[in-house]
Amino acid sequence: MNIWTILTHIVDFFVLGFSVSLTICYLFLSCVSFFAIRKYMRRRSLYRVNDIISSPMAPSVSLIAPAYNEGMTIVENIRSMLSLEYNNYDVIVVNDGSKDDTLEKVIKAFDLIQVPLHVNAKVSTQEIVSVYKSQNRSFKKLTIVNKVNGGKADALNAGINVSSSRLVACIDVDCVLENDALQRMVKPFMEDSSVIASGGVVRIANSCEIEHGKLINVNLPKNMLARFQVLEYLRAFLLSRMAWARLNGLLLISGAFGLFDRKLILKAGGYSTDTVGEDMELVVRMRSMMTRAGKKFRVTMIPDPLCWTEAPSTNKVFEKQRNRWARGTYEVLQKHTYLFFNSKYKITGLFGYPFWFFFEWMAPLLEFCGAVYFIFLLFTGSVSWTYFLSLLVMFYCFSIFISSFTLYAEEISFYKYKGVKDQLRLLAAALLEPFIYHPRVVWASVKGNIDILKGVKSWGEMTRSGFSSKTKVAELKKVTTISN
Amino acid sequence: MEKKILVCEDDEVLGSMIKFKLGKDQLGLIESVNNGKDAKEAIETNDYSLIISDIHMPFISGLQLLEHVRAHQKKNTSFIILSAEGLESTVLEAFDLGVTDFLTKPFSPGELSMRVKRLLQAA
Amino acid sequence: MISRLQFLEDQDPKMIFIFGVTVVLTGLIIFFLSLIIISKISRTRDRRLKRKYWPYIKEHLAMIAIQSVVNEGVKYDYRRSLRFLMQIRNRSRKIAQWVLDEIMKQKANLTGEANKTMLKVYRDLNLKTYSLRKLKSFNSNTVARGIYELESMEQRDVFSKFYKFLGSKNTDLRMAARLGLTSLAPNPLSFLDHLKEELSEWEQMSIYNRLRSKHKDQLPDFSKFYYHEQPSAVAFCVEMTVRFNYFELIPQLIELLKTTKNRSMVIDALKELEAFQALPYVKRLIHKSNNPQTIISCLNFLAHIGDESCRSIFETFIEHKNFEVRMAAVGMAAKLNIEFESSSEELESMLLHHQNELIS
Repeated sequence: MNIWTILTHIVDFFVLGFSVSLTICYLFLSCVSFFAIRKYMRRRSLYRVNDIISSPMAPSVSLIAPAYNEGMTIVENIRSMLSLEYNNYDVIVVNDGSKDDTLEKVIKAFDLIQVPLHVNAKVSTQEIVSVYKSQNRSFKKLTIVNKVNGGKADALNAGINVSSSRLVACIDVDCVLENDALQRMVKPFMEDSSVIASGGVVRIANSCEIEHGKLINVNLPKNMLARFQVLEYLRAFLLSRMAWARLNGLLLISGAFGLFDRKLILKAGGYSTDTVGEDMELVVRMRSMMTRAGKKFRVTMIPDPLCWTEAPSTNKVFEKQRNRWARGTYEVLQKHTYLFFNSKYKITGLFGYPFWFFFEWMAPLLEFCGAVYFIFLLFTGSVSWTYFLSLLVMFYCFSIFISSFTLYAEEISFYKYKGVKDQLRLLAAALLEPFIYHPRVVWASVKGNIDILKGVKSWGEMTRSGFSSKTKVAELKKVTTISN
Repeated sequence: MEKKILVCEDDEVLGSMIKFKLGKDQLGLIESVNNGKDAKEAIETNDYSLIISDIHMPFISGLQLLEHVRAHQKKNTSFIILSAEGLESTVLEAFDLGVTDFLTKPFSPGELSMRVKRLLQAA
Repeated sequence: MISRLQFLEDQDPKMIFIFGVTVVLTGLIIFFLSLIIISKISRTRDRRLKRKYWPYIKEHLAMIAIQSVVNEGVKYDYRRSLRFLMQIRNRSRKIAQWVLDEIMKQKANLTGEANKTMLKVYRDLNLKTYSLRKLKSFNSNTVARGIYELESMEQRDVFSKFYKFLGSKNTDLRMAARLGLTSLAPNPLSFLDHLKEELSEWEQMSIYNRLRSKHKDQLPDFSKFYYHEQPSAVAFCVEMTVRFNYFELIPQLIELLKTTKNRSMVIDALKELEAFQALPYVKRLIHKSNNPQTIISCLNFLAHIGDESCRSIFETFIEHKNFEVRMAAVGMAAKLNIEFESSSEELESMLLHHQNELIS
């Protein structure tokens, strides 16, 4: 046996070991998620909507929506946000230094006037230029914050500073919320005082009928890329995150719709502005803060489809999004390396973080390496086809298994895609996905990681885009010291 | 000319009951719809003297409907809101938007009929 | 190198392993796909059943309801509707459940005669036995559902059956039993005597919803629980005192203020009740306390009830290190029209904030 043989054996066993642990993890997660969903659906049938919307004891919530160059749709979106079925909430729209007519349009549509709101900048943000409120009493729930551009995280922080509610819901301004979104999301906070954050499910709105910012009819997207994403989102939320929430190891609450305890966000220091994965970073930071303080806490998730968003339907936008997600994941993991198999942080450290490290961040890279390795073997002409094909079949079966479980979970829970045709289409998507869709995801995430390696440049670009002159100097100094 | 009344209520039984009771008391020509979208369409094509609407309906809420009616200069249309939530904030919002009367569920159809009669006479 | 020869041997452990995993996964795929198909079939069957019976259920209940509110001129036979509903009720338990759900919904929507008629239908269709049967189920959710049905249909004679569920292992069932007792038992909050766990906010809200529909003399004496061992129960009772405007309990609240840990809650309650009697206590407390939350509550109380004499208090707290305390102090000054020299930019800005009507 020469070194080469030993090396290939090591690689072989590593690949096998990796895939075995991946399979076992997912089997375990799907079991957990199955029982969690079943329990949730049973409890849901006991819930009466009127209980909360007619109660003056419902906790106060602020919807915080950062807006950047949204002039086309902003008025419609705000109207939709103002008409949710919940009685104790307000809407804070943060205009993050838009270059278009976002602010003018809103001022005109809602009869706004500048007010001298005194903001306590508990989390420091870019300067708030002005705050507006409506003179029309029927829009009194609305507050518009106009600030210097600083990016999404910075805008959210400004909104959190302005809010005085007990809970804050951080949302994307362009997503469509279901009318009962807030009542359902608030419920876990009211049931258990140790809940610090609660995530909502995000679904794909492509091809759905939307009128005046309200979802009228759910359709399966006609675009193939979006249809694959429907399946992927279902899998991510119904299988993975539902199970993680049940195990109390949820690390990511989607930036499109999440509800947080305002005081705790402030205590944790708000969203961090130096990462593109700010939504995940916040949850991880809040979790480790609570653990360090020795407090009991829970991060939950509500599986109801409450938030609908447009998914990228062209390759270019899609690749950009996934590239960003890959970078975000890396940045968050890198920021919190102390969690890696750290028993002090219990499930977060022992299970949650390693899972993200191995199966979310590393898996696509390994897959890519595998493909390269395979091509290399092809050239040297030493491919063992039986072995290769049986491995392929195993992975394929694994992927189909996950998808069929997801479809089943959707079937017993919310059942949004009615009709046999749509179901068959989803099944077809599940069968095709490993060949058509998955390689793109892997490729985008590899590119994201390559961008990380290019490192300083992309990081510098990002911060430079949005900081005002004073901070820019400081940031630039930092950049130069790092590059040196 | 007979006065036209629109009943918007997503619960069919309740809707048909209101429709029947008002018709029985000969208060006018009564039409009913069961969601906010249909209601909006009906309002655009017809001229109603009175609209009775639930707050929580599919697609468009009663308050949005009210806002729409008032925004389109139909000042003389009376508007009654039926709601399961009698919360002060909701009631105030409804009156801010220009509602004529506000009834909290559970309610008695007899009372509703009396209020409708009084409104139509006053108009 | 993964040699070709290696894999021609039958006993290669890697191949066996891969084969095994594949077989297991395939089995699971088939399992889930067939589950989907089964669920689809049962759903279609349900839908067909619903399409067949649902319109009739609605129509008959609507006619019954209409008949109860329109006194004359309706030639409609209650007994005929009842006979029909009875027939379809016997078809299957599912249909009986639909009928029951619809009755409950209508009852919640209506008052007066129509409400009573719905109760009569419930009684005449003998649906109570269905609800009672649910109490015997092993599934906690079903039991909770049964309690909920009996509670909504105001079956006052069965409340004693709920007591045994107060000790259940299932959180939801325990809560359902407590809520059921709130609605039906002659003494609504009697379960508080034995309460060993925290009353969640959700449950507090639900209890309040039930108490709201009661007449004032059916309500319990909330002050009885002011010294309950569960802080959440105390908080709940203090809040109820405010919500139901029990001005006569102000002395007891002031008494509670002397011993409780959660002073700010009691002061907030006193503020809502406009309890001017508490003014001297609050003025004394504000200087003694070093908990910012308590100080803020005191300042808000004084803003509501105090007078010009609070100037010295304002001057003390405007320098406080906690932002919220300073903000509340300025708020109090603005509310009481205390004039002062705005010595700093922050003070000026806070004052403008509080004087603006649009910022509530």
